[in-house]
Amino acid sequence: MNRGPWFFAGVLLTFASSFGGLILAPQLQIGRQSVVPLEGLGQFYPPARPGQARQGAAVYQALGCVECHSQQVRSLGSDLQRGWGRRMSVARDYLRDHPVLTGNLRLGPDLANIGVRLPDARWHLLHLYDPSSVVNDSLMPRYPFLFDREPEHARFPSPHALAMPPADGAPQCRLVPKPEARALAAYLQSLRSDVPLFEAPILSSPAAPEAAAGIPGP
Amino acid sequence: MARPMSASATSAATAAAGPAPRDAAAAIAVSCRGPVVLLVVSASVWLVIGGVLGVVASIQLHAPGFLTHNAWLTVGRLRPASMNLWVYGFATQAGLGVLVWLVARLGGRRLLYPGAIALGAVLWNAGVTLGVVGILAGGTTGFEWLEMPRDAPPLLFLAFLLMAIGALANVVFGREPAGSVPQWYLVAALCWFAWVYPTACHLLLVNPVRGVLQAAVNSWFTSNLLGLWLTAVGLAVVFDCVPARAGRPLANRGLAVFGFWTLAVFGSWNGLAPWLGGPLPRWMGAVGVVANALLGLSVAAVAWNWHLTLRGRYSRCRTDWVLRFVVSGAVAYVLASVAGFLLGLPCLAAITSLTLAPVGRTQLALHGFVGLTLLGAIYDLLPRLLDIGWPSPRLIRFHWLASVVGVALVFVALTLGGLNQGLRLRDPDASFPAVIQSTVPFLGNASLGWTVWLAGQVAFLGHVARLLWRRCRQASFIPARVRTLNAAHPSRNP
Repeated sequence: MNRGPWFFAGVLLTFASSFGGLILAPQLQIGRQSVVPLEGLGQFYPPARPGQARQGAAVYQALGCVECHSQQVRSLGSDLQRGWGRRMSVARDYLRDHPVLTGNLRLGPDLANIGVRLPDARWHLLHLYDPSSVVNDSLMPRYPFLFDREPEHARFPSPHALAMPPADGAPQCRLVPKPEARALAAYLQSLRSDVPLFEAPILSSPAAPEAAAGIPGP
Repeated sequence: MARPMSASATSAATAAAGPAPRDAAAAIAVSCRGPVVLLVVSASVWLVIGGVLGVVASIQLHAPGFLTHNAWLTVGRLRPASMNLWVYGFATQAGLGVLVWLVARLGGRRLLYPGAIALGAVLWNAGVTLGVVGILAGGTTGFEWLEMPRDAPPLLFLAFLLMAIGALANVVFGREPAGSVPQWYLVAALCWFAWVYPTACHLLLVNPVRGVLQAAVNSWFTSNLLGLWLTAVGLAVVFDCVPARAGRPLANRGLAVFGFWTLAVFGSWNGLAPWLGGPLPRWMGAVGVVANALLGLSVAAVAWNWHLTLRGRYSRCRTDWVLRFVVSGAVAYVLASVAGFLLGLPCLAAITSLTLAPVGRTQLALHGFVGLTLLGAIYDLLPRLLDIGWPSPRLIRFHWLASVVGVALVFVALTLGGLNQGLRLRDPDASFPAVIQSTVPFLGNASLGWTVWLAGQVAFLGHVARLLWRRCRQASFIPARVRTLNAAHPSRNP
């Protein structure tokens, strides 16, 4: 390879250009973004997650939910009309996340605003135990291993028990979500990016606000 | 392996004088035997294990009740585990094996540092095992193709460095002047992996960048791992195999230079194309789309060059199984590149982004292009290294048929399924679960495709096992002793 040094230099330079362009440049552009104060509320956006929701994020990560669920409302397609968000997702929404689980496949609905659409923890727990019991036609797998069961007339009933018998028909039992399940539900409740930002204002389109709040579906 | 090598070294030295280049080639093959067979055989084992996990994960996508009672058997873990096994267990490992063999052969010299390379192979397999067990146990990092828990990447990178430095030494100190087309791709591939893998690990796991930039780094990483590292190894195999098997030199070297440098420039810039319309700065997706289009120059140049070299000799694919695998892989490369370009176009991306279609395209590039070319290279190199022919041509034919049919079925099913999904989702009133239900037939066909594909890979692994078993039975697997034995009893080795 008599032109070896030039070859090496070429390979490294071309790749350095990609590193500079796709890693360094965006870092310079948005790497210093920080949380924004919400006027009059004394709070910041994005908010820090409460401890249980943070544990739930770890459960979400460990179970690989990102394989089927995205967390990004896009401007292309029907995301906004579908009520998945009142505005498209922007870089600032993810400032507190590590890992950032934007996802790249939607075999399940987008979850960027699931906490706005479905704020009820009990709904999430039932859904985790048996998705098709709350959503018709759901193709989501069940997560029975996130639940314990306790006898119907336990001496010290768990405060978290759900008034629902297990799917295998054992009638004398009630379901008790394990801490992982409750954490995951808390995380899902905490997923909301509905604060208007300078770079992503909420436009008053006819579909957006009411639909986003009222849709009972997934 | 030291002793047998020195034994064959003497025969190589005598051969170097001129009369018998076959002996020199054989000596090089023997010198590669230890590390390359280790890499290739362990890659084949991971290929089948990853395939089994992949089939189960694929079935779970349309049959959600299948195996849900253990966390490690759910699709959220099996899917990344199977992809990691494919990328690191099979493709990268077999790629390194093929790469080591190619640099030794093209350098015209017995393999230097076989011990370091073999040690690297052992460490690599330890890293893959650790990582995949970690994913199944719930330790995933959440980053695509970097799901392995944080302990695995340092081990993998160390292993890679051992193998890469060993391989580079073979290029630099080779006897033949380096500079053939496959060598460009191989050397560049090593540089690219050595840059992109530790950089991504550092910026995502060790010292993470903030917020959505993680997603950008992740896309940059996956696109480069596939589009530069694995692609370059696959292209090196094609550029090595096609002229040799067609029996004529490469048609146009200038075109090859052009194809290489356009890949180097644009191949590393297209990673962010899927982010058009997403939460990253808009220019990033746009740059990716442009790079994707310009990358078409490279693909066209490379494919045209192959075609000119093979023109009039395509019929050799009928009898030459290595060429048939490699040409099928080359066709998959062109198809996957065209599909990648089309799916990146804003008008189509508006429909297909975040659907199954990009998944199908990635699988075509991985299992069609990278997989078939590497398998073809393995069919070429194992008999040479072990000095024994494949036991059963029928198994090879079955393997080829199952691989091609399986990958084609998966690609078509996922692409059509993604289009169906994207088109239906455009109607905001269509209920989301109903839309996903409508993709079930497509997902079912993809599972069928994976099953067919897996059957081929199981046959392949069985075939490799039979080959090794025969080789051991010939009792010449430990050559130093065996040579004398064979010399004493020529009937043992007819």
